[in-house]
Amino acid sequence: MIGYVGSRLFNAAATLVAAVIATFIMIRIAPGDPVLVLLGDLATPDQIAAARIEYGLDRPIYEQLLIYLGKAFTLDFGNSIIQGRPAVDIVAQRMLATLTLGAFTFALVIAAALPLGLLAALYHDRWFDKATSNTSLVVLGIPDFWLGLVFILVFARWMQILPSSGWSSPSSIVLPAVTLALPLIAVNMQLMRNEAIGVLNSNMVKILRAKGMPTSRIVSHHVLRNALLPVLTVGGVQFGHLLGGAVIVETVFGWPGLGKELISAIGYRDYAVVQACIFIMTFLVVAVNFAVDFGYRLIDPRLRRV
Amino acid sequence: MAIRGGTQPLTGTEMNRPADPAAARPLLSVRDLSIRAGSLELVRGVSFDLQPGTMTALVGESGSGKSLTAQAILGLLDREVYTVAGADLRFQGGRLGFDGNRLPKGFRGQLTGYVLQDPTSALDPTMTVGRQIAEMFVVHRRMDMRSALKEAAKMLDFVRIPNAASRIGDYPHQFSGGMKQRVLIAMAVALSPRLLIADEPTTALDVTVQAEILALIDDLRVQLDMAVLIITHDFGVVYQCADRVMVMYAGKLVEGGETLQITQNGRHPYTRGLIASIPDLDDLDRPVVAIPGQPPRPESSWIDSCAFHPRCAWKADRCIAEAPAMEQLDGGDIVRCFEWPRVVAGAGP
Amino acid sequence: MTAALEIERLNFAYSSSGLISSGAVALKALDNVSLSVEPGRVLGIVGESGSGKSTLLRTIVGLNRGYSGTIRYRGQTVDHAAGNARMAPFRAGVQMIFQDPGGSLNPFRTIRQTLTAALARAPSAAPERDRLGVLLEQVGMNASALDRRPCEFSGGQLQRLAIARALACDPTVFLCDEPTSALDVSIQAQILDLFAKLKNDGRAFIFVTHNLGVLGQIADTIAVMFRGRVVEVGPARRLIAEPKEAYTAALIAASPRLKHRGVLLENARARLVPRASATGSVL
Repeated sequence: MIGYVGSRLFNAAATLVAAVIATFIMIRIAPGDPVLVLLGDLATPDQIAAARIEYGLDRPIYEQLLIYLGKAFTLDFGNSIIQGRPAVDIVAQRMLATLTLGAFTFALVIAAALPLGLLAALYHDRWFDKATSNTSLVVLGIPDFWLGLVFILVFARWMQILPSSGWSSPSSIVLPAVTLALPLIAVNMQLMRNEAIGVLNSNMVKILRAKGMPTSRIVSHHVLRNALLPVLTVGGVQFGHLLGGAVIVETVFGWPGLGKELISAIGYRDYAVVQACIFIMTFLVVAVNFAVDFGYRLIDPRLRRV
Repeated sequence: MAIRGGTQPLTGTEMNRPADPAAARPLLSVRDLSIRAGSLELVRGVSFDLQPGTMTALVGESGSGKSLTAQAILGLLDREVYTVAGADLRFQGGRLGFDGNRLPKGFRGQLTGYVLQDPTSALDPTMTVGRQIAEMFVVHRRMDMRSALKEAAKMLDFVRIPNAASRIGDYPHQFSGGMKQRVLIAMAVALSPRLLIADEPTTALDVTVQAEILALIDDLRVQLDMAVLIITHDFGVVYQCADRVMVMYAGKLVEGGETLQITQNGRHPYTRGLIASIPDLDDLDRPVVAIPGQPPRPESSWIDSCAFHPRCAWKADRCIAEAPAMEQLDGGDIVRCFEWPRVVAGAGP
Repeated sequence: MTAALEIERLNFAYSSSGLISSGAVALKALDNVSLSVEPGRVLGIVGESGSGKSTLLRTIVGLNRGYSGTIRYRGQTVDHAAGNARMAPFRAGVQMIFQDPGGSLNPFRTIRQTLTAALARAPSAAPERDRLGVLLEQVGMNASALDRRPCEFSGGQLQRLAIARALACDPTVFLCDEPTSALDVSIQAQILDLFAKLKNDGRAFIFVTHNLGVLGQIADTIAVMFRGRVVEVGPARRLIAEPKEAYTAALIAASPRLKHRGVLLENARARLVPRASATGSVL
């Protein structure tokens, strides 16, 4: 077990390093000069040269990479060239917002998708199953920014029961979280439904019924755990995606998260912030998958090594 | 643990004790069982009795309806797919519905046990075998988990799993195929049921393991005075283990009776064909004779003729014109064939 | 006569290595296996799960790399690492038949497409139309099968078609891995008849099965495998009538037969582990 954890940790660290290097390379391949952005069109060549030296942009690229790598793992990404503060401070603040939104969204997804999927499986091909299947297709067809705008219109403007943007009160999280959660609920519900139908038709359930087990026990003690395994795997990937992929929804709702920060940092060629953002996002994705892996082993004894 | 009988040594003669069908009230009596899936008639008019404490084999090839028959008795068929019709099912004299919801409380699990071919897919991979057995006691006997687990350990020992007490915490994947089948059997007989239905219980196992599982099932039959309905395609297994045998073809019973009679002097051409197609280790000079043609598909309808006639060497005009009815013979044997006297007389095709 | 296929001191081990396991655990799947089969003969291999009988076939056709020992096809040493050109005669000449009858047929292609593709690998003068018909006739089917897809056939028919596909390459050796185990008994006998016919055409068979009775019918020689080793080899009749090894005898005793009623259970009872409760151990 300890060896397993070790090898997984090694893999995780390798993934992080690879991500850091890839970010570094990609950002420098991208067109645009941060110094020009910073100083504006009227800057003199002397000013530009001075700024280059100040930010270390005059050194050879491999040297920049080595310096960067060394600093990345001490979480020193330098100062934001726009805001003038340490990039890591900016990103840490944003990470809290993104994590809160992600966790809340994910809780919503689990709370809705698992029971709905299980019910749809139990009432396979009845009206409940058909209704939920069709609804999830509709939900998946709606672009999330549009859904977000409709929510703002209905709940913030007309009904005025929820704030439309920012993170000013606890209820601010409701609209962005629901917007993010709906398509995920649709996907996971269908996944849960299909898995549960498979399990319900298995020999295992046939034997459980022959044992005289009540349906409620069969579902709660056996079907749920067995159907959960594949859902968990997909859930891990989705959670990772949620951390980085919430850009549009964060923008629509003015949510001060990583995604929104990343987009503006890219616009300004604010290398420090971009790199800090991607480093943190990669770290979160790796950490979540690490956790999912162990969750999987908790549920499925076949994966535990002796 | 409510196990009757204890562990007396068994003798070979006990197995061959004659079953007098007239003397005892049948444990289970099935009348006119038919199963449909949509417009397909999968099982047609199956009737038979099971006597307490006997082992009866239901033999047939894939698609003959033998597994469906067993599952219908236990109310295990998916009612969305299958319709069970026209049937009268009596267990210990009391009438049962074929609808899973209307079975008497405790029918499944307490009065009957069920074992199927593939033990790997039949056990819950995420739960220890101890708990899977223990839940029988928890649900049916209202025991707490602690004492139920103790009973589970006794059951593992009862099905002769070595070091039973230390294995209740193991998961199914830590057992071999034969051991998993024992776990499944332990679950099925945990509450000393009156009837065990074993659907191809040894087909997926190695021959040496198969023999051990069959011996175990036969021991349990004697010790628990339990009727066993064993479903198999292997006439060798039937000959070695079963008191009585019923042969199914294309959804109908075609022959039934005492094992020795059926295996040595079968009346139905299909029974004879099946036996002739088995390679015989004791007589390598006897060539295996294949039954020509293919088993019928369920969509082919033989309502107006004998379903076996396209493959039958004794086929007469009548076999195509009308479907033979089941004939009751002396001694409780049954046969569904117009030409059986000719078959028995050895008149040759 | 030159053996159609000859195996000498074949060794193979599956390695299960992991970062944490204390060193690589090697499971010896084949342990010094030497066997050979002549044209027109059937070498039967019997054994239980884990005996290495399927591994042997997989190793012969080159699915398991890293074996040691020699495989000779018609007197020539087989080098699985050699290029396609050198391996082509071996790959066409040694054909495998599997337990799952549909497994070697592409479900999306018609039988005509499958057989035509197989024929393309074995050039011949006869016009293709005739050859398709001949192939099907050889396996007891007719041309009406050509434009259908695998899902339209029963298990026995699929196995016939799989054999027809293999026959298209005009093989010298058939490697059969439990080819009748998934079939009904009445159909099994049909397929055994078909194999007997092909054997009489001079083709060699290595026939792997757990069913001794089947080998009693079809095999000339039987090799009994146990945990990767060949424990006994002998003429089929002699081996079944007078097994020399205890393991062979146990296999025969456990085979359900239509004689000596009740003996199977008696033998097995003697082997059952006594219950702890019966021996007085505390649970």
